[in-house]
Amino acid sequence: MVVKIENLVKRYGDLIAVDHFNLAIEEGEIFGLLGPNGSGKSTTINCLLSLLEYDKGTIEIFGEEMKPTSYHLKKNIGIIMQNVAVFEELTVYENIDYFCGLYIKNKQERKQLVEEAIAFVGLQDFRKFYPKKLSGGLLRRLNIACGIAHKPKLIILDEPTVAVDPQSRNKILEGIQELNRQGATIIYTTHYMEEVEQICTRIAIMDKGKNLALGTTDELKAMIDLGETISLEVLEITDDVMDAIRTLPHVIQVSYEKHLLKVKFSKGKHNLLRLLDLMRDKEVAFGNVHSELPTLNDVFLEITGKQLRD
Amino acid sequence: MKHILYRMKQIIRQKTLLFWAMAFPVILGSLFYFMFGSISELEQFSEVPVGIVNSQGIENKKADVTEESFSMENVQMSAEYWKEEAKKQSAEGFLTMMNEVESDNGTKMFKVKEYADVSKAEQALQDGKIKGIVDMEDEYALTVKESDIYSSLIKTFIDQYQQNVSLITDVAMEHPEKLADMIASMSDTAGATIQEISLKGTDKDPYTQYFYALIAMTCLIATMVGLNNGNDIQADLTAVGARRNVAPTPKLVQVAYDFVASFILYCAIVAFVIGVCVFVFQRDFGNHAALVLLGGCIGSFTSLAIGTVIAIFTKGSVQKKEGLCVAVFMISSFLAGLQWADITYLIEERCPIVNRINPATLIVNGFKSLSVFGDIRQYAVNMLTLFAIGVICVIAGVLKLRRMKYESI
Repeated sequence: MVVKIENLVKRYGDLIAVDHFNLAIEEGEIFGLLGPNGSGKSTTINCLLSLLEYDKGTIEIFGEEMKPTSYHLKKNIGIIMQNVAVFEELTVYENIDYFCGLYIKNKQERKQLVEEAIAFVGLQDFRKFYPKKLSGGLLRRLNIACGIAHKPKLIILDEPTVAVDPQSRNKILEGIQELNRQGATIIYTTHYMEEVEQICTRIAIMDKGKNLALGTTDELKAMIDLGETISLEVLEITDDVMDAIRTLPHVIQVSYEKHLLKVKFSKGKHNLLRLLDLMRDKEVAFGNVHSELPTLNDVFLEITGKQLRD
Repeated sequence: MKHILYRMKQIIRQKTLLFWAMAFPVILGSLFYFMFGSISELEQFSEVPVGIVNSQGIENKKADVTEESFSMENVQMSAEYWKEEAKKQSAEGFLTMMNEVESDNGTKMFKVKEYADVSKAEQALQDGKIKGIVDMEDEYALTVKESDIYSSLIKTFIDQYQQNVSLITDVAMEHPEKLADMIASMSDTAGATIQEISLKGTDKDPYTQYFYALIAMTCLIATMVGLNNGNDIQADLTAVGARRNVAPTPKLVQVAYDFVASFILYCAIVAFVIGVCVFVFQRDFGNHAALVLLGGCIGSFTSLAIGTVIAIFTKGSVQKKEGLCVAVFMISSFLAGLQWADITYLIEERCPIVNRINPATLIVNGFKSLSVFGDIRQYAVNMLTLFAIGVICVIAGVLKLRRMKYESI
């Protein structure tokens, strides 16, 4: 077990930021902590790192209790903060070397690691650049390089792709998967469901400090009733047809807005076929047809009654 | 070592900080230099060339006035005799005094050139060879080419001399028995004056105090560096602080690295400012530049510690802490006499404790006691007090930092 959190409680006055939170992360996982802004993800991470005092609970990393003075544990942890944490007055190379130096004392070893980190995030051409000269995406890459240069066994990434262009985002996500392939266990917090779906092996969905659901993407999707959402472009539709659709097997919800008919089905077979047959029988003309499987947003919506990005 | 070098690089690359720590003191010092330089130059001139019209060839005798020469026997002589004698000796005395009077720095005040002919003296005045003409035949009438500090000085000297001669003459005429007492009294006064100015230090330029305050201010700007050191290790203040807190290098060790780097670099900055004062602004600090540098280093140490303590102990944003820090070093510098030199005397009268604990005042007064009064003991006391303040701040900072836990980030 790389990380074990039991019954964690963190209060800010009357507000409970983390509410009896439990978590267990195995070695080699890319674990996603998914939740909207203010759901308690960063607070949980800060407690995990012993940056914050917490009111209740226990936290273990690599099987040992994590304390502010657990320096032997900290050696194997890499952190990529939500805010870019670099020195403005040091160049790309110097920043990575400085932060790596807090973990690695051997000069030769550090030099090698810094070069590898620079190559890993693709900043070879920017090694003498100061952070203020870098774009948002490059700055995020530097932030990551500073956190992973010492080759930690556990890497915690707290919303590393906020305000990052798509190209850099893909580069970052690919990098995280590569780090995992190299043996690191990853904890990845974000409110972008597409990212966790893309890279995470297991996901915990958080809201109001609570762990609402835990599992793989498929397991989470299996927890909800929604099986698929079918969308049809329809110029005009009558109430009779709408009522007829509602009588089809497995239909959960039917809506029509801006010439788009959306029908949500629970898990079942031949939903699309039945819907198209009905449209033909009722002589309703339709255009493009799309069938979507449930997303994590659907999971979040069904569990909490609100959108993930609300 | 790597950490120390990187911290130094960070500080060196902070242009704003470098401006305040290096450029600002130099700019301010330049202003002082040009403002006070001309005044000081006039006050410390070596010799003012004066032409004396002496058609009767009165001898310039070395002053040999002693208490014994004014014995009671002499005093008993008639008043008329004293009146005539005074007049006769007045001219000789004037020449003697003018030749021998010295300014505070021990240099002759006047360079006397005697002329038998008024026209030659006037020609010399026109040519700028002399600053004024004193006609001994015409009641010491003064002729000057223009009214300036030199003419004022010559006039003041003449007036003072005539006043004294008149006083002695009058006493000799009306109360000859009191003449000896009066001479003794004048002698005592002279003695007191001598005692007051016979300072062991060699720098008596009153404007040097502004340069001391300038160095003190430079030291105190180190509070901003100390503040940055303190901020950069706090996880709830800066992202960098959070990253450093999760590193396996203990934060006290990291702070120690930062402090050492800042101290070394800041000593170099203070040395630079002192160097500019010595070599550019021509302040030799009473030949104690090395001890002034030592004081500057101690001042930097304490200022760094104060800045770190402000960062660690106060709550609020980085901006709020920076504002507090600027207020601390500006107020401290003001109380040390950077803007108004006399404030330290005012504080000494009203609330002397402030002068005993204000870092800037400790630095300034330490330097003054060293180079003006030549009092190395007082310098040592001030520097030890300053160092003790720094040590107290360091201890307080370490204790607080060790126990520091974050409620929120």
